[in-house]
This record gives sequence, structure tokens and C-alpha cells, in this order.
Amino acid sequence: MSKCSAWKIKGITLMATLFLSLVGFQKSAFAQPDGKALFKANCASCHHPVNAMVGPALKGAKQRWSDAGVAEEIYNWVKDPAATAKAVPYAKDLKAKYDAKGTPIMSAQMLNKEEVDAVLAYADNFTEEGPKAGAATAHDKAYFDQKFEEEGSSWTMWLIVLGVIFTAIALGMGGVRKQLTRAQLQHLNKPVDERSTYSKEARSWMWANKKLVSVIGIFLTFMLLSAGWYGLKDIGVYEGYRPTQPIWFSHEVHAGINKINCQYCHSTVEKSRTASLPTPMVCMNCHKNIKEGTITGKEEIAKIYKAVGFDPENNVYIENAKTEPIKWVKVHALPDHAYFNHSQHVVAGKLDCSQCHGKMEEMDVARIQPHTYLNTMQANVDANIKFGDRPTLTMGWCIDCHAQAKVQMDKNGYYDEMKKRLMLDKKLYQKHLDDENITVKDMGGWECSKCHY
Amino acid sequence: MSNNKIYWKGPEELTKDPNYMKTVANEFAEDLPMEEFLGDAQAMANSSTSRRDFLKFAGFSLAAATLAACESPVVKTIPYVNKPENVTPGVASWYATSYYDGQLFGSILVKSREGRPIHIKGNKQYGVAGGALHPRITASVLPLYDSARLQSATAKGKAISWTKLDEAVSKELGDVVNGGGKVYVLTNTITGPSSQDALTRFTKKLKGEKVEPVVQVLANDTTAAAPVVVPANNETEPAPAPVAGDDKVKWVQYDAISYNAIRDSHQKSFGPADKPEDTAYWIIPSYDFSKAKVIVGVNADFLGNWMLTNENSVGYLKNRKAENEWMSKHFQFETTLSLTGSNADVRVAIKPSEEGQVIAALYQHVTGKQTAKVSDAIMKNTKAAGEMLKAQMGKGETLVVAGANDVNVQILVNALNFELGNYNNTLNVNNPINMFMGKDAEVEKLFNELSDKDAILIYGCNPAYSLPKSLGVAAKIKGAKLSISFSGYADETASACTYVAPDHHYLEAWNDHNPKYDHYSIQQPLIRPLYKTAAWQESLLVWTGLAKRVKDSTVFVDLMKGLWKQYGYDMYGGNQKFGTFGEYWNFHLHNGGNTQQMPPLYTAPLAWTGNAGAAGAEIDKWKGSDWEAIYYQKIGMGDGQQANNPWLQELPDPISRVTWDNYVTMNPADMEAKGYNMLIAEKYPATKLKVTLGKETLELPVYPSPGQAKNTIGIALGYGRGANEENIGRSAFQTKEYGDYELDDKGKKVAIGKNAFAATSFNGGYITYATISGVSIADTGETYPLASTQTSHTLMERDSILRETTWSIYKNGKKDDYNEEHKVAYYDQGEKSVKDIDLWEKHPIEHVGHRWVMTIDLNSCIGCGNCIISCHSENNVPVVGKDEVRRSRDMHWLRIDRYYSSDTTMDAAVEKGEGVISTYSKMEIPAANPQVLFQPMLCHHCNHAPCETVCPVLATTHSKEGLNQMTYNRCIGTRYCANNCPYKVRRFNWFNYQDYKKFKNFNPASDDTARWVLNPDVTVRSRGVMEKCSFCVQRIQGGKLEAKKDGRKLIDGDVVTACQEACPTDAIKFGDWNDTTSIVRKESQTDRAYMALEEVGIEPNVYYQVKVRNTDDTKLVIKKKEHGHHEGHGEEGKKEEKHA
Repeated sequence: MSKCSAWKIKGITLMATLFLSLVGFQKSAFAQPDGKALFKANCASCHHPVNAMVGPALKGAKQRWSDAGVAEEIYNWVKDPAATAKAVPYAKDLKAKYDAKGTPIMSAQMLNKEEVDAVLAYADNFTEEGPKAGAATAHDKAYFDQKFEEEGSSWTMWLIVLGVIFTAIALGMGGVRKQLTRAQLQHLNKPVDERSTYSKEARSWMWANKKLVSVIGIFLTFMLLSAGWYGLKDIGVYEGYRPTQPIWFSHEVHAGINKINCQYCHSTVEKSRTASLPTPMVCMNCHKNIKEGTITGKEEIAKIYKAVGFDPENNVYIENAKTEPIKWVKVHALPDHAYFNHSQHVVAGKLDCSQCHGKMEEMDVARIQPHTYLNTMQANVDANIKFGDRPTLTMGWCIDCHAQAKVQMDKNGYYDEMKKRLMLDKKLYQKHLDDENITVKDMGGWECSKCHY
Repeated sequence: MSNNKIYWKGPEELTKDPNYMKTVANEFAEDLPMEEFLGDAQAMANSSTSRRDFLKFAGFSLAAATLAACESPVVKTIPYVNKPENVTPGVASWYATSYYDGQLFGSILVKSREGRPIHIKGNKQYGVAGGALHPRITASVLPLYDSARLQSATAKGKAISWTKLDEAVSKELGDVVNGGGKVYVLTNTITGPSSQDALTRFTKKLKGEKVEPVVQVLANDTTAAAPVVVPANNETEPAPAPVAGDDKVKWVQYDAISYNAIRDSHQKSFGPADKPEDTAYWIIPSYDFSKAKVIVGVNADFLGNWMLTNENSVGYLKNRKAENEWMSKHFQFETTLSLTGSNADVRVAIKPSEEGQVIAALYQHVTGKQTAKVSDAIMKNTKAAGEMLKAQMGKGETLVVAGANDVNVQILVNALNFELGNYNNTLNVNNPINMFMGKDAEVEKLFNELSDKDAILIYGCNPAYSLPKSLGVAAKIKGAKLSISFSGYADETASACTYVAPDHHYLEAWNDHNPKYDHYSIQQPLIRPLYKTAAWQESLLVWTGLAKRVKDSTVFVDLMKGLWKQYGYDMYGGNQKFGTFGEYWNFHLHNGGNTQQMPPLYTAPLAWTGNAGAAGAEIDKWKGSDWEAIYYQKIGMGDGQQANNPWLQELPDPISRVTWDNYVTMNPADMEAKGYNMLIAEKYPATKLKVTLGKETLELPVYPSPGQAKNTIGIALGYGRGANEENIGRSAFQTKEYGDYELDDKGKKVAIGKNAFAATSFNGGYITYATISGVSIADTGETYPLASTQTSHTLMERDSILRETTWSIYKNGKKDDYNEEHKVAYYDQGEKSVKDIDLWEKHPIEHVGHRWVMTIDLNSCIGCGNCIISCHSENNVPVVGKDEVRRSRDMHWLRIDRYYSSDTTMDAAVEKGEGVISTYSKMEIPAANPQVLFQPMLCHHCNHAPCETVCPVLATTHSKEGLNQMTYNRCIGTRYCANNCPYKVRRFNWFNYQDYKKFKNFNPASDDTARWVLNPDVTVRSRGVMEKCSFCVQRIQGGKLEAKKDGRKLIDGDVVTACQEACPTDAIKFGDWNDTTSIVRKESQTDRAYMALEEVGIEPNVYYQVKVRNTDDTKLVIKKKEHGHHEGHGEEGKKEEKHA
């Protein structure tokens, strides 16, 4: 696709977004719950209006409950599935049916009666939209590829090409000159120095221009040294690292357009040191039904099916199929001697994912975000965190943040106790009182064995 | 200081050999090992590598390394395809299971990370003995990953598929039965009902009896109704099984360390005398040391290895705590100084031939009745113990135990305990021990009768190794028509068998155990079998056509569940308490078993039917001789089952502190008389002896062991595994200085140590672990290097490291009497406490945030070494091997120092009017029978740490929580810190242990499979850095995080260090000192709390608590109040101080 048409699409997107937001505004003016929005926000990760996914299809759900004679219970079910499953036989059966698929019971949803009705009404009136219908789906792979290009400019390549061309020209010219000299000498019947070579000539030229050569020599030495110095400084720095992944997976499509919560896939981020990658089975929760991507078509999704041994034609898992794990390339690879714990930062530190990972919902493939970019994150701005000149994922970057980030002490019994003990040391506590700021560093966040053991 | 005792760590230190002292004066006993690669002049001259070449290589390597560093490695991250429900990547799960090896039983919790079992701790909530463990149990996770394990079934040493094996064995079993041969099954004691059931099915089927069908438990058992019974899998039967005669199938149980005499003696003491076939009293009662006010042990190492040793330790320590109302009095009569003897209040050295006399003498003291002739000396030595026992007569508050596997001695022991009223008090016959059911006579008979027509199946024991050599077990097995071993290794026995059908490692297998009458435990697998192994019970069923082998077979676990349903759930009304069987099963699986009140076995009181007099008459026949030998178990090696476990090989023996070897222990006085080398250090090898033990001859080095009875020697069992190069594991052979195995003249791998089992003998149907006649000793003229850890670490010669007192001083005296404060003269202000004088500014650790503190109760520490193994397992401590230990380069982050103390006292010498110098030299003469004190020594995390001030690169720094942090990546290895550490606890990482070939055969990190045991939360340190105890900082961080995430205050138990968790006697406590309610806060403020080397002013975060002995030790006098004369250290200072 040409650049021109890409811009056209961007334009269309913009207009469509404006139009939709206008519609959205109008709707909200009537103060009625928006079934579609509620569905997307609360239900879409497990339910589909017409297809059974992790949970049953929502179309006709109200009818089914009322057929079973428990029409009113559906509201309780949404609010507290566990309790309802015990009390209502229909709900119990429903739970058993979907439990068998190896998923836990639905978590409680904070929806009132009108909202539930709105969602179910949306599901009942749902019609399958064409793949090109929504404005949000108007990207294609080429568009995303092009965005890559924009970010990774290649001026060095051009320099090298130019250098090669100039060298070739210079050498060519030299050859011509040499031939001409030779011809002239022959013409004058003078002896031709057959041993004359480029290097000999260069040496005699250098001898003739000693001053210039030495200036250039000194300049080159310094350039090399400084290049070496900066090169050494870059060892182990992977800012901007964005490896090619085995599956062309777009965070924008999943987290941005489809608004899937980060933790739906990176599910252990609150429990463990690792955020963990989703197993292909988690992908299958949705992709059992979504068999074709708007951008990549069937090709990429087929890789999931291959990994888990799923037959998309017949919608069944192939019996005794050979499964094969997906070998993703690790983006944020810390060295073994540095211990990092996601749950520490997300739960105890109450950090937002974007403070370290940027707006993943706006980009496709994960990368190590440049620290300058992270400085523009609203969450970092709000928390008064401004990274200095240390590249992301270096130790300097970590402790930069530890020096600025305030410890989230409120409503945490652990920190209440810590605060109480701090107050025993008036001098120390006064220091904290002055700037009302107990940073991670103040609590020992710069100490070696907080991360190295 | 509070006492006048002199401590030393080995005779080397006492005799102060000048050369020896020179080598140990430095933290690092030798200079940089340049000579290793530059010293050999000839090799250097012959080398074809010139200096120029070397420089070229060096230059190239530098360039290559630089280039390699620039390249960023691509790291893959691979999620599960289908994640197991209970696995959260990065978070450990714990599963309850059980350890049982025929000698030890432990209820354990196993830590599993991403499906790999990596660490073992006790199941404190539901386990036997409160989940107390033993080093061999804690270390048992490592052999799981031994790549030398058999990886498939074998026939005549060649790998064979299980299908083929099953076919061949089924057929040959039939042939044996048809040919009129017998089928023997030889196992260790099988306590588990399910294994017993499988065995019964096997024997019944062979005998042609009716086999009851297995009770099937369906996967989703939702009913509580009667068991669903389905027919036995008769349809899988290959052919009509031949029928053996009733006497043709025999199951024999055999324990490598036999307690047969104790069972038999109870039968003879309480069973009906006229009906010997009535085996109702063929029991071993359980021993309750917690109720005993007087404990007498006779060659029974009940804290180290004897009986249910972990339960003994817990009970024993219950009334050794200083806070109690009373403290038990412990007498120990023994030959070789054992762990138990070193904890005793009174220890008397006896010869093995005197064991019977000691019991008879005690019996005589208590009852006044003479049973055997007792020498005057023994009468005198036993008088104190006898009188104390007599004072408790009839109260049932005493306990006498003896180790001798001799039925007459044990009958006398029973008689004594019976007279003292101990039965149903300290000896519980209503909750007997179900382990140790082996009958020695039957084993002897089996091997005497085993013919070329017979078949033998061997599980759980290694008779070719552990039975007396005179029995010729290996040859007999080879001569049998069919021989099958279930061993996981092609060990001594298995390599003599035609077929090996390897069983799973216990962490891969289902099983259940019934170690005590009231406890049934479940053993559940933690990991799918690593190799092609199969449950041995399943093999038995398959070979008799009772089951079919399939992939991921559940044959045995189905049988197990069926039995638990039939005899547990159904019989005890499980449906009322649990609803479904599934819930019942999961409940017990979660708890690791079930302890429940059982109906008493004996409703009538015990009646004495034995004959003490006859037993005494038998004891009279014992004839001692000039030299006697006893075979004992080391805590790390036991009966040698885990000889392939490098953690245990490197665990120093608690007494001798020697690693990786066995040796002859001898009293230093005897050694001096014979002129053997008593200085054992890197450059001082031990004298090698030729020891004749009856018909056996062993060549072993000799090690001076104060406390060893004169004219006796002790040799540890469990060594010399794989003497004929049998495959018994990767780490079970001697290695050379630069790697690879040591080979003998014939090119065979050399075993570690020598097998002392060979010298044991059958004596009246019982295996005797001593030789009392025909022992002779000769010097071979050769030497042999030993690797001992203790003498290589010296402490500053100060007397404030150890503090001990007696029970009466502790109870009646004031703190200053036994735990005096350190004071120094301060200008003209008189004396001030060292606490008030400080060169340094205070660290802001008090009150603010956390302050991590450890307290170690020297009174509770029995020196077992379980903490060391647990620390190894938790912190990826490298195993360095014998050669490195000899060079004082052992890497233990935590060690247990053993100190002997002297007989001579300054006061006694003053009374005798001896001079100062002669008194001191006398004090340095090793006592024949010294008292022992154990002191766990680890990084003290000093608040004014001397190591921190000398580090040039700030690699070791202090945290706000009081931790002395070690940052490996900053460390450049100057070793200044180690030189400046007063406790000598910093260890230098000399090698790339995980890569260098020297360590490949034993270091877990050096093997692709064994590496799985490493803790992913702790760095594997590289060459050239210092390392040391971190107070398990990974657990501290983890504990804090959990509290933060839960939003609650951190409390005791949130952070438990590996050593604390492993301590069976709760000697180690750890916690937040700034939490005023914490246990460590209280413990550190008791009167017994002191800091080692407090006067140096380094303010350690480890507190010790004064050891309290229940003795009238004249050496531990209440110190007279005296002041002044504190200037100077070492010898000069001491002399002045004591004469002030």
C-alpha cells in the first residue's frame, strides 16, 4: 500500500473517531446505560454475544433464565455467581457445564439491574459486523510495518552507501590518472615505474602533506577513542530493543482496540516476580472463535492453533495432537544477578504498567521503551518521576526511580508499623516531614541486597 | 569471663606444633596457588607453548572476550502450552510427602519451583516428631537429579525395554516355580500398608491362592456408599500361572542397621514363656525422651542415628531447655564419642565388650540383684547413674536405652526399665514403632539356603554391600536361577542380579508408610519420573499378571486409594466427616498423612515373663580382648545409602569435622603411645593403618578422637560403596586433584573409604556391629590425606566466644555468675561496659524499620548439622570436594564448630601449688574424655562490621535493616574482608565451580541434570568473589513483600531462614528485633544471651545463649568478683587475669 493511501486511512480513522465520539456523547446525554460499552468493559474477555467462549453466549440468556423459571435470578448471578450457584439449581448446572472446561466461576460483576439489562439487550440485538466495518479496524499490517520503519531510521546505511560510492569514484579517478601518466610517460619515451602502487603513492603523498596528515590522524584517533568509549558505555544497554517475535502479535489490537486488560494475559503480575506470558490456551479463550485477524488474516492465528493442536475447521482440539510451545523472544531480559519482582511494584508500589512499559495499547510489538519516552507518561508526570540520562533497564534507571518514587504508605498495615517506628527517631522522621516525602530510597531502596542476592 | 575452662578444637591446636600454627595463623592457609600451574619446572620446559605464543593467545582471548561481550544474547521465554493449575511461574509451591529409607522416617514438605522439587523442610503441622528432620532427609532431594541413576530396566547390565523385561521375568518366575525352586523377596522393612498389600498379592498369586480384587476408586468419587469392587484384572494374565507350594514363596525383611534384638527381647520379656510362637509382644515401644528425668544411653546414639532419631531429638530437647522447671540428667556410656555422648552431662568411655556389664551393673545398683559378673571399675563408674535411677524408682520418669544388637543385653535393659516403671510412661508399648522388622537370622538362613533353582527379588536394601563379607552374598545371588533388583542404581547388589527393574526416586513415587502405630503417612510424587523407571509394587503385580503396565501407569496409586477407602474412609465413617472419598483423600494428601488416636494394643498391664538372670549368665560369656573395634554410623552417611550425595559427603562429621572419608578413630593417648601422626592438616596427612578385624582386613587412616575409649577403635559404616566400580552414583568415588576420578592400578574407580560392614558378623543369629576379639593394628608406613574442616579455621584466642554454666549456677546464681558483662577501664571513670564505649557512630537501625537478628541457643544445639544441609540447598552453596576442603577452601556459609574442653582447672592447680606455666601445659594435654560444645557459626552481620571498612570497592556494605550485604558483582576478590572478619565466616570463591572440570563429578551446578536442584532465587556465584551467609535475604525480601501485599504488619514466622527452619530442636531463632513483641527480642534479652567477641565492639546481630549443663562441674565455678587486669590478650592476658 502506498504512503498516500496510508494517510488517507489515517484521515478516515480520525473522522470516524470524531463521529463515534459524537454519537457516544449523544447517547450519554440520555443517561441510559450503554450496553455495548459495558459489554466490552466487563464481559468481552469471556463472553461473546453469539458464540460460546469461556462463558456461554449472551444472546438469549435472559430468555433461557426465564424459561428455567428463574428470570430474576440472573441479576443476582451477575452480582454474586458463587452464592447464586449454590442457591439456584439452574445456575448450578450452568456452573458445572462451564467448569468442565477448566475455567473458574465468573467473578462478581458490579452491574446494577439496568446495566445488566442493557448488556443483555445489546447481546440480543447483536449482529455480526463485517471485518471492515469498525473504524478501529482500518489498520493493516503494512501500516504497522511502516510505523516500525518510521521509528527505526537508517541514515547510517545511507552514509555507508555514500562512502562506498565516493571511494569507488576516488579509486576510479586515481586509476584513470595513473593510466594517463603512464601513457604520457610512454609517449615521451620516459621509463615507466611499474612498481608504482596506490600505497606507494599514498605514502609519498602523505610525506608531502605531513601537517595535514598528522592533523587528520589526531582527529581520527580521538574519534575512534570517543566512539570506543561510547560503544563501551552501550554494552548491555538495550534501550529500544524490539526483537522480531515468532507470532506477529499486536498489543494495540488486543489492549488498545479490544481493551483487553493487561492482566488477562500477564496474569501473574500481582502474584509473582514475573508477569508471565499467557499460555496459548489463554489465547484460545478468544481465538477459539476469532479465527481471522483484521490485519494478519488467518496466518498468525494459525500458529496458536498449531501450538495447542486445534482444528479450526471443525472447532475441536485434535486428540493426542503434538503440542508445541511458542518460543517468544524475551524483551526485558534482566541479568541473573538482578532480582526484580513485578508484584512488588504493581501491588505494594501501586505502579501503573505504563510507568515502565509505556502505552502498550498504542504499539504493536513490545520493546524496551526509551526513558525519554517514559518521561512523557502521565502516571510518571503525576508521580513527579523524571528519569535522568540513564537508559531504561540499566541499574541507573532503576535507582533513579527509587530516589524519586514515593512509597505508597497509605492504608497499608505494613507501612503503618514502619511509620510508627520511624517516628521513634525524631531526627530522621523530621527529615521526612520536611518534604513530606518518604521515597523508596529512604526505605532502603538503594541498598545492594534489595535486588542482588 | 565466667569460667576457667580451656577450649581447643583439635590436638593440633593443643600441642601447638610450630609448623602447624604457622599454617593456621592466616585466614588462608596457603599462598596463592601459583605453584599449581607454574611450579612444575619440567612440565613448563617440555611445553610447546612459548612465551610469544602465550601472549598471542592472551591477546586473542582478550579480543574475543571483548567481542563476545558486545553481542547481546537472544533470550527465549517459553510459556507452558497448558499450564498446570497449581503452578504460578516464579512462585514456589509446597507439597507434603514422606521420606522413608528403612532407617529414617521424616514427614516433609517439598518446595517445588516450576515443577522441580528443590528444597525439603519438615511438616511441622501434621508430621511425626513435629516435622523434625535429619541431615540425610533434608539432603535427599539431590540424588533425584543424579544422572548416574539407571535410566531404564536392564538385563545382565544391558538396557532393555520394560515390555521385554516383563515378558522375561514373568516367564522365568514361572520356570522357577515349575522347577521346584523357591521365590524369595528380600526387602527392607516395609511399613506401608499399600506396599504390603502389593507384596501379599504377589505371594498369594504365586502360591495359587485367591487374590481379592482391588477396590476401585473412581476419579470423581461422589458417593459415600460401599466400595465399588471390580474384578481383578484377570484378563490381562498372560498364561495360567504356575502354582508354588505354600512354603515356596518367602518374604524376608532385612535392615542394614538391625534392631532385631530389641524386638526379640520384648517378646522374651513380656510374651508368654511357654508359647514362643505368640508374637503379640514382638514390638519396639516408642521412646519418649521428653518425660525422662534420668536418661542412660549405652552405645546408643539416639540423637544421631538410633531408632526414630528425629523424634528422639525433639523429645530429648524438651527437657534440656534452660527455662524449664527441671532438666534431665543424661548419662552416656559409649566407645566412640558420638553426637549423643557429646551432649551428655556425664559421659563414660567403655569398651564394646563392657556394654552388657554396664547394664548389669545398673541393674544391680537399682535392684540390688546381681545378674552378671561386673568388674569393680564398671561398678564404680555406673554408681552415679545407678543411684539417680534408683531415686526415680517406680515413677516411670527414667529411660535406659542400649544400642547393642544382642538379645541378652536388651532383656536386661527391659528388666531395668520394667523395674523402674518406665513401661507405659517413657516407653509406650501402645504406640509401638513399626520400623525395623528385619529378622537377622532369617536373612542369614536365606543366603545360606539360596540355591541355583531359586529366585530372589531384592528391594530397598543392599545385602551384597551391607551384610558380613563372610556370607558371600554377591556370589550367592549370582548363583540363583533368577535374581531381580529394584534398585535405582546398578549398585553392589543390583550388579550381581540378572535383571534390574529400577524403582522411582521417592520424590517421583506414590507410597504410604506406617512408621508408628498411630501414624499413616502418604508419599506423593512431586515430579513425573525423570527416567524410565517403574514403581516396584507395580512390577510385582505386572509379573504375576495382576496388572498391566501402561504409560503414566496409575496401577499402584489406584491400589493405594482403594486401600485408603476400604480401611480408612469406610471403616472410620469418613462420609460423616468428609462427605466424599475425594475430599477425604485430598485432606490427607494435603496433610501428608494422618495421626489418629488408636485403640490401645494391650489392655492388660505388662507382666514380666523374662529371665534376667539367664541373660546375665549369657553376658558373662563375653570375652573382651586387648583391642576392640566398634562400627558406628556417621550422621551424614548412616548405612551408606546416600554415599552418592555430595552434600552429605561434604557435611563434616560433627565430632571429627572430617569430610569425604572414613577413618579409624583412636584415643590420642593411644596414638601417642604408638607414635602415629596426630596433626592432621593440609600438609600433614594421617598415618595409614592396617586394621585386622577378625577375618577382615581394612587399610584406613587413623584420626585422633578424644573420648574414644582406650584400646578401642571406631570405624564408620556406610563408606566403601562401589568398591568394585559398581554404578552407585556420580559423586560416590574419589576424584583427582585436577578433576576426573581417581583410578587404582587396575584402572578401576576408587571408592571413598572402606566398607566396615564387611567386618560385622552374625552372632547367635544377630548382626553384631563390633568386633571384640581378633583386632590388631599395624602401621603400614604409608600416609593418607584427610580433609578436616575444623582445624583449618582458627578463631582469635579469646575466651568470650563460648560460655557455659551448670544447672545449679544458672538456677541459683545471678546473671553475672555465668554471663558477665564485658568491661573495660575508661580513663579515670573506672570500668565501663563495652556497650557504652564506641569508636563508631551508631547505625540507625534501632527502632527504625526492621532489624534482623538471630539468636542461637547453645543449650538446644545438638550439633546434628541439618542446618548446614538446608543452607546448602537454599543458597546454592557449591560443593568443592575433598581436595579443596583440605586446602581450607570449603564453602560452607554456616558451620558448626566443635570445641572440646579440658580436665585441668586453674583452681585445682593452685591448690596443688603448681606453677603457672606447668599448669598451662597440663591444661593443654588432651583429656581422655573431654566435654564437647557445639557452636553454629555464621556471618554475624555486625553493625560495626570490620569487613565493611576494609573493602576497597564497597562490595560489602551495611543495610538499614542491619544486614551485612554482599554484592558479588562489585567484589573484585581482594579478600581483605575475610582477613578482617573475627569470626572467619567469609568464604572465597576460588573457582568457576559450575564449569571447572575438577568439580564436575560432584558439584550440583556442574551437571545439566543436577543443576535443576538450584534455587532460582539465589545467584550462583562466580569465581573470584567473596560469599557468606546472607541471613537468607531472599526470604527476608519475600516475607516483607507478602506482608506489604497483604497490607499487614510483619510478624514472626513471615521470615524463616533455612537454618532456622531445619533445626529439629529450635535452637535457632530469627526475626525482627525492632518488633518489641518478637521472639528474638525476648530471647536476646534473657540473662543467658551474649554476643560472641562482644568486647571487640563490632555489635553483631547474632546472639548466643549460654550452654547449661546438668552437672556439678568443678571447672565451672562461680567466678570470684575481681576487677582490673583486662589489658592484653592471649596467653599473657589470661595468666594475669586468673591470678588476680
